[in-house]
Amino acid sequence: MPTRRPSPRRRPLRKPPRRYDPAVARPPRLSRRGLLRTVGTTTALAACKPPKAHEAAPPEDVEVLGPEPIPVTFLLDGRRVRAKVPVQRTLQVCLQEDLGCTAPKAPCDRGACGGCLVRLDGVAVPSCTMLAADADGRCVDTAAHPDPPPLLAALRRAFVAHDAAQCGYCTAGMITAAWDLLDRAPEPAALDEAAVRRAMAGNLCRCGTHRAVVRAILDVAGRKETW
Amino acid sequence: MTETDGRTLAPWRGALRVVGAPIDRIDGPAKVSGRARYTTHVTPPGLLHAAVARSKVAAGTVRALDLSGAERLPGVRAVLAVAVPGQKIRFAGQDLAAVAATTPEIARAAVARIEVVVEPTPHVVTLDGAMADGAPRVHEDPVQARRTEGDDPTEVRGGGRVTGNVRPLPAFEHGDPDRAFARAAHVHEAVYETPVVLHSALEPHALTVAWDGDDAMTVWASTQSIFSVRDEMASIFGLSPERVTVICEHMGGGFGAKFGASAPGSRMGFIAGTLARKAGAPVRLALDRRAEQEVTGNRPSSRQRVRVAADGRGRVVALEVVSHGTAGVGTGAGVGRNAAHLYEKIPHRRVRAHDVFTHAGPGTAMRAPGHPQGAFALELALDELAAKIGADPLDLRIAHDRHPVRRREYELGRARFRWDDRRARARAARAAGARVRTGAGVAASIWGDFGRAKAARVTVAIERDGSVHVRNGVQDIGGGIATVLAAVVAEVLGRPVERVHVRYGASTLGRSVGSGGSQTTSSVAPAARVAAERARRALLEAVAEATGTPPGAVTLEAGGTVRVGPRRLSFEDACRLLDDDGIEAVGQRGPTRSDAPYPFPGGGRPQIGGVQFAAVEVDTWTGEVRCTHLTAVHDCGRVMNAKAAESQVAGGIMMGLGFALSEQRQVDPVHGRVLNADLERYKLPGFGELPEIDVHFVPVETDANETGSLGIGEPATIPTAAAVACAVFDALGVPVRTLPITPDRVLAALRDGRAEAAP
Repeated sequence: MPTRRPSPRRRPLRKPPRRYDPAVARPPRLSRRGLLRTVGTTTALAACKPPKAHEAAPPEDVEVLGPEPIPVTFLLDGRRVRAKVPVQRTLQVCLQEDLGCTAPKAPCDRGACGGCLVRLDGVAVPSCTMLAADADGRCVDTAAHPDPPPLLAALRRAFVAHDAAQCGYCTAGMITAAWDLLDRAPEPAALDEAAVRRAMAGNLCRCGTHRAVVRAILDVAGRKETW
Repeated sequence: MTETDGRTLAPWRGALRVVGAPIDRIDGPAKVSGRARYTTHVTPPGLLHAAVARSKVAAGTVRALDLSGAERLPGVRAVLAVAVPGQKIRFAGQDLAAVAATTPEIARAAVARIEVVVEPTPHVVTLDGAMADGAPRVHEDPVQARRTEGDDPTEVRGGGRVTGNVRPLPAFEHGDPDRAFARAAHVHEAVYETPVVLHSALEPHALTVAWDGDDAMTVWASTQSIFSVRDEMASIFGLSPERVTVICEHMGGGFGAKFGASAPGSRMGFIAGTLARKAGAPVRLALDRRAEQEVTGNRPSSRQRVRVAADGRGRVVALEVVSHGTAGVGTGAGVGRNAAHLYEKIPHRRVRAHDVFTHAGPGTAMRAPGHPQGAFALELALDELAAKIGADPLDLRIAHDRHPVRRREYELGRARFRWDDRRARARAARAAGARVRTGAGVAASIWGDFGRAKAARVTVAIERDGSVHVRNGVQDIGGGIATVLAAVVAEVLGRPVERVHVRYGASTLGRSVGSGGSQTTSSVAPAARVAAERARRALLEAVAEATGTPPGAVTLEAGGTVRVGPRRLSFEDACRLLDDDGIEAVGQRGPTRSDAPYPFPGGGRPQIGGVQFAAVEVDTWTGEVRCTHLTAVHDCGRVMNAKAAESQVAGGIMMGLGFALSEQRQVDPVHGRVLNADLERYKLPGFGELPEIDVHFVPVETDANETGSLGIGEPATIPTAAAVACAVFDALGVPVRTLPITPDRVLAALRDGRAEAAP
């Protein structure tokens, strides 16, 4: 048995968001199976090494997963889900193919467009450049939340009212980015247009909904009493 | 029935209750909650995932294919050689072979095991290279122009004889330009260039095929034209079209590249259908971003030599554009209608465009094919001439335009944009030699109403419970046609929009049009009105019969109340009088009945105008250009949904800003591959580039069709880049004649301008 020790990846990347709502996204409680989920880094490193390093035994304190599909369990939009996924499967593919979650798409498939954003333990991350295995035991929240927290619901309403979705393919990512922005902003009402644009700069849209998106977000930010 | 073909329907006049109001999209809630299902979200049982092996070289001959490595991989269910030995490769990314496997990961791994030997031959990917003597020939045989529903249907077809890699497109000539140039007092001549740009819809092309026996299939496609997918699949596999069901619930953008079952540079329909047949299971073929950017179409480049001349009294007398552009291995590098038809008071005009073949992915229609390129060169050249003769660019345009609506739009824009102030401020900053300059520019669009008669069959049903249903097989590509259908029917039946249920996005719901040429609304909305008017009449007749009232005494009031003689019934109560079948009525659009307010060239259909004013800020030290303000004044007949129409214009502007300032496909001349086939090095405009946008519509009442609606999607993007380029010229006093207007080009233009001014 490899030595078990807490992986640095298991710690939250940042402090939990200010408005973290345990009823919606509980912190990971699935640590019973607290295995090292380092498959992502090992695979990536292996790919960089010269061929013979491939055959070298892994370091003793690392459990190697795969090549057969591996089980993952996490909280998706507040509900516990399980999937058995190929080791190299990204979280975006896992959500779409294994769990039928249609919100995060993969327009660029390399973390450049924001179309795949999810909130991982309360922080927006691109799900197309993250392995499903690395989501094990964590909280994944998407724009498709079936019981949306008030802020998410307000954003949805505002996006419709400002016509901020045309083809709609970037929209869930946009809303996730906006949700992350307003949820973690110390004072949402203080956000001005420049701040919103800066925060949204990682999200691409080809239909040109930008103006409507900015208006929708400012609308929600300025009416905190509605969420 | 009097309105059998819609001919006698009285046109709508004045303000309406629902149509034209700002209406929330009916598909909005599904999209903002991430629940909307796109093609890759459809998972029929046993679904396999396809991947395609693509050529890594730009030119060559296929010598051998070895698919055995892929066949042996566990999880692979079908393997298909798309290329055959001896076949020519003409662009990097061309289809070679394909696999279907149980997971997308296995499919990709299998593709990596396919060995294809391609003997490379010399390739040429640049315009200069392809036009040089002795350049490698891209096509040995005559080339058939590929046309889609995205192309201007009135454009003259065909092309001249190919010389080397150059193929002339049909030329336009009016008057005697040569004589006019010889006698003109002032002549301006320069070369203007635009790059190849990529559609870059956020949803890559995707198609899922499920066979149902040997002679029927269901296809889920991300498409701008459900019925062109149906017809192409039927033709590829020898099926009768009604045995092919095509579904497109939602689609993530097309912009001209998503017509038919195949992408312009990839035989997607053939591949997915054949793999599905071989494997005996449904197959999904979804392209990755690299393939999407490399092989699924692009806006061709252009290099336009423009000559424009004025007489001694400041009248523009002659205009000539000679253009060469590349659509890669494809055709269609024209420059649109702008130079030929926008400024009709220029008496002598000539346009000659040429396709130059290169070893690169094929071009295809992209949002107003040819027009943004043509607008840029024409409008900037006019401004340069205006500067020479000391004319105001706006006055010059108004003086040479015959379109009454566009002339009005120029005047409206002048006030809204504060044209005179902005021009004066730019002049002052230029004279002072300020580091940060501002500039103002204006440009116009020309487009036609391509709405078609009897192309869409819309069904309106009223049930006994008072519910209203609309059905049509149209796809909503993001323009909001589904909401327009609901609005039109709600208007006629006096219902709230949210009480009208729309089913769309499937070939089983009634014939419809492709979303190209900005024709969707003006083809489909009139059919909906005809169907709704028939349903309304049938409802009133049924109520009259059930209540024993004379038919003329039953009327429908604007709020949906049914008046039966002295009695008033709610809509629901009136519907309870129907028999179990309720009411079902079908409507089609009549022929285009008017070319008012002003005819499109060739006549018989209205011309759609539109002008845009751009304000820019240019840092003359760094060369950075920022568009700060964009005023857009457009017409599209009667606006159907104020929200969606404004969104279309704002979206067209954003796409135009990308064309103006940042977008260009880069092809490595050595390897012949696209270097920025992704979304981080291909620079789409984003939140950082968003200017203040002011959209204004000039309402136009036209009797062209039963709803008076015309198109707006394409006109909205035609003038943007041109207006920005003109504004940059205003700011600097020297033109940047190559798009995109990047900092290096601004600095080079300033350097050249100083060099010119020095002696």
